[in-house]
Amino acid sequence: MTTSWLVRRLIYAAITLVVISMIVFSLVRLTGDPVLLFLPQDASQEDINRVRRQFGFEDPLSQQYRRFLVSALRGDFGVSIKFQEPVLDVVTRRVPATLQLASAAMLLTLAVALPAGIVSALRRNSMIDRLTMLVVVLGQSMPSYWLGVMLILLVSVQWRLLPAFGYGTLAHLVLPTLTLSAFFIARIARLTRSGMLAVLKSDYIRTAEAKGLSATSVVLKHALKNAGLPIVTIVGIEFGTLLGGTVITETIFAWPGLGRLAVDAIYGRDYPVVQTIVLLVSAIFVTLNLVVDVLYHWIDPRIELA
Amino acid sequence: MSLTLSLAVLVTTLVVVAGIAAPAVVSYDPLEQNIIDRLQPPMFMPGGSSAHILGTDHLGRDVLARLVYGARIALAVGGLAVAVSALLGLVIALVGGYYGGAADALLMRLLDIQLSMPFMLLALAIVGIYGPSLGNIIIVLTITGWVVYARVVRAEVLSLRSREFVVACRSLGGSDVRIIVRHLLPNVVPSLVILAALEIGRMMLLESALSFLGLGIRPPNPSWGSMLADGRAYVASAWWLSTCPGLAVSFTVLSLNIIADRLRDALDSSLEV
Repeated sequence: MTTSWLVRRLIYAAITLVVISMIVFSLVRLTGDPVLLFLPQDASQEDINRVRRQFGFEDPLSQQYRRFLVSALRGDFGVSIKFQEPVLDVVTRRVPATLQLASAAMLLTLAVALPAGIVSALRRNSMIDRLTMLVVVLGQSMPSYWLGVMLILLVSVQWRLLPAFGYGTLAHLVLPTLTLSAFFIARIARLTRSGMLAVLKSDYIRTAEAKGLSATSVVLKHALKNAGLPIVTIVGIEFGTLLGGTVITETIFAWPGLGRLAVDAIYGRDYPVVQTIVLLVSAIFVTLNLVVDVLYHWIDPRIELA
Repeated sequence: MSLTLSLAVLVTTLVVVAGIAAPAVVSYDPLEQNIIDRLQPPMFMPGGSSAHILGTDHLGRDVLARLVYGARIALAVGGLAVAVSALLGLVIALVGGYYGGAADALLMRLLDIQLSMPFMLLALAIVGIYGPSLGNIIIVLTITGWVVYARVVRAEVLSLRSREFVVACRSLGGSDVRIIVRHLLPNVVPSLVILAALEIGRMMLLESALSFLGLGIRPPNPSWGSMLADGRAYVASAWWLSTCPGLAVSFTVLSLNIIADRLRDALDSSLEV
């Protein structure tokens, strides 16, 4: 890994974040009069003028953006209209719940998808392979919100096994985790399977087998090591997608995380909060991509230093 | 043709025909409310009647009629979103991939930036700010859709542009437009078809998810996603309200995915999406 590559990669990440901040900034301001977005529809002229002064909407756009960027870098994302407290406080309060849900879903995904993908590649066309592929196809076709509602219908309403809503105990975590991870289990299992299949066809596997190595050694030492790297990359990037995907799951299960806060903020026209969440999750995305990229180059230096 | 594929084609055909010929398929108006007949169970349940095969919702509207008209909306949104994003992605990939240079580099940076934004949040913010209209939904879906086509087609153009038939055409005095339209375009069509088939299911899922969150197709218009959201409040007493639209989305998307998968095997098995 060369330093110049790393520097260039860092600059790209920074540019990406700046462009995203511009997009987020302009979204609210392209509607004509942004003041109307920040206020309820029956706001008085006095309120409108007050908000316009408070948010500095009368200044030129470039000046407004500079102010937005400078305060954002200082951790000041404005004041939530609904909660009347700094947006950063409102948002960070919700981070643990989302992190808990996303981590649980990621763990479940890895625990199910990796073994399923590996075994179905090794035993192609077996019952396990067919079952895995069925789950893969179903998981990618079923809307997660429907899965969530069906789980509530069967597990909570019909069988009364687990709570349908709420947050706090392990029992509350089960259904949201299942709902959130279904799609990712399907995706990772599919990629693991096709990655393993591709590696198993390669020359060095044939050589290893010809040398008379045991099947376990061939699979664990030769195949998995090589198929594993792209999978790790995808898992890293998918964790970011998982964070964004909590919007629907959190809405269904009344989970007090970032996704639900975002939806509530959109309904309640609390745009400083919306802006901050989009920006925050994008920043996590970009950072994850960067970390995964750097790790990838560090583990496997063969990869072209583009 | 295998049984799975036959079933997938059958389901897709049924959904398309039902969507197009909706008024001929069901006799009820999907918007007509009838409070007296509200929350009637489906025909096969105790208390159900053949008047409402899949029962009625909380406003007494016929569930089957809403499902069938919902198919029309799902197909229209999915189809339009795929068409617009495929066209946009194709043009960007052909022009960028063929000419290369600064414009191409810029477009690829744009693609990277696009991929590092959380789509669902961005979509919600855009629809929330600009209002949930059909046009805005198509725009939002195109924002996430074009990337898929642009990336795959551009990679193919990059490998095609130095191939013998392209070089031969250029040395015979063929113009850039001729090369792009007559030589590059026909060679990327198979990938484009596979991607479009895969994407239409994804677009339908996204539209229904937006509608489920109340930021998609506006009520009272029947979208499968908003029907499910309405049915959620009655999940304990009227399970069919949330089950039926979910089954409709799942089976339609499942069938489309199966067809797309087989199409990929038949046309080009190397394409990984």
